[in-house]
Amino acid sequence: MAYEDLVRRHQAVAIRTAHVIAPDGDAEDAVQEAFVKAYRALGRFRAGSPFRPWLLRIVANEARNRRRSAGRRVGLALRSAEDRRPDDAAPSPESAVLADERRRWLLAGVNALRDDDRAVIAARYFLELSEAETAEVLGLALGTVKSRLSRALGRLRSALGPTDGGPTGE
Amino acid sequence: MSDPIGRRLPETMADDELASGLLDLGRMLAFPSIEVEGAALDPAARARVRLDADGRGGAGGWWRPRPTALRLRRAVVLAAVAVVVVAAIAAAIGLGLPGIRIVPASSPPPVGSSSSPAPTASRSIGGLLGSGLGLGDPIALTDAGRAADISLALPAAPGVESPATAWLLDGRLSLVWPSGPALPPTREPGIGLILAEFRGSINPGYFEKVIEPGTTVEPAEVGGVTGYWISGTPHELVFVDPGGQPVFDSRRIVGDTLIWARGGVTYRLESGLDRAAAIALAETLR
Repeated sequence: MAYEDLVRRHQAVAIRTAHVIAPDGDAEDAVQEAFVKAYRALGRFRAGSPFRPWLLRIVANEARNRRRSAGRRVGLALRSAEDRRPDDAAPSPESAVLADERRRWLLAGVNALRDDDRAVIAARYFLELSEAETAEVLGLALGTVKSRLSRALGRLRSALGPTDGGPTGE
Repeated sequence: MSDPIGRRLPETMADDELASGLLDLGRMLAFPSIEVEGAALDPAARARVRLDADGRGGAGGWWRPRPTALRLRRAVVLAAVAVVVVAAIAAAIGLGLPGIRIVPASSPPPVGSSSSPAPTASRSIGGLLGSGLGLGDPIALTDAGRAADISLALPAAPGVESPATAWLLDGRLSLVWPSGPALPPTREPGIGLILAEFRGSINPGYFEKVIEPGTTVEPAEVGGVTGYWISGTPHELVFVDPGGQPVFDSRRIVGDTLIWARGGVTYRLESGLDRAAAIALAETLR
């Protein structure tokens, strides 16, 4: 297994990781730099442990470092209509509008969270990492991931108040 | 109506509803796409180019394959293999088995991924047991030891006769037995045992296993030498031959593997046997 091929297997999730950590940064550049750094750190890789979270942790750190120097905070965004795949189509135009409205409402809540809350939610739900992977990627203890996720979801619930303009069905 | 989150007050929203809403949101988020147009390279390739430029890939490096023997594509792959192999030197000692390095778990590429075509297995090509597995060219058993530059060792266990076929690839010999009463079936129908024997493991050769999630690796003693028992998900093997050339062994793995080295020859026994039975069989090699 060539190193280039090995990291290419994880390239898509690496780009997503860099993007959720720093939506305002250049994710591709961060990932390229992280791949170089990971190569140089291969000697410190613990034999037999999973490679993907180890690599993603380096990606996340690289993205985070770039975010600190970037300034203005930018949130995550929904795909534009033309970027959607045919299988994303909702069963009817009406339900598509409702689903989009719900997503925008939820996303506004996520974007309003603090960085560390947003990161743990993004890792679990947007990158679909396991709790153990999330812990490794974010450099947290497993117990901290559980408690931080629970707290972040609580804050998200609060942020999703009906007065925020979200669809409440009222 | 079909919108559980949107129809409820947040205070009453169940955790799993919020979770499913977030999962749905994640699948509709805009992420940067990897643009590879014209001569542009993806981040993995750009990282490799940068590492090459650091001097690790300079002309004449020991990891460079012989240009006359290998195509350019192969050269690039092998140079990158050496990358991990270099890191393996230090780690090999810690694993207690000179020359063997167990490394990264990595997710296998998605099934059907267009960028990584699976080896096309066709067991019936030529009608020979083991054909289509990427074992190399068929070779007569009587010529096998000489061709691989080893003293051929065969198991001497009841019910295990001579191998049905022998194959040679870049000096690596693979012997194939059909499944039967003494050899339970492997993942590959009809095949009970593949025993690989080849030179190049101890000094200066070493091995690398690229371990997939779901694969477990445990030390195993075979006739007084330490080896490894590798079970679970199929894995891949990279090794370096005695000339210092890394070789990427991409052939399909059909069963759990016992790997050990003795006298400069590495043995890899792949079968449907459990650990104890595989070790017992390995210890009958004569």
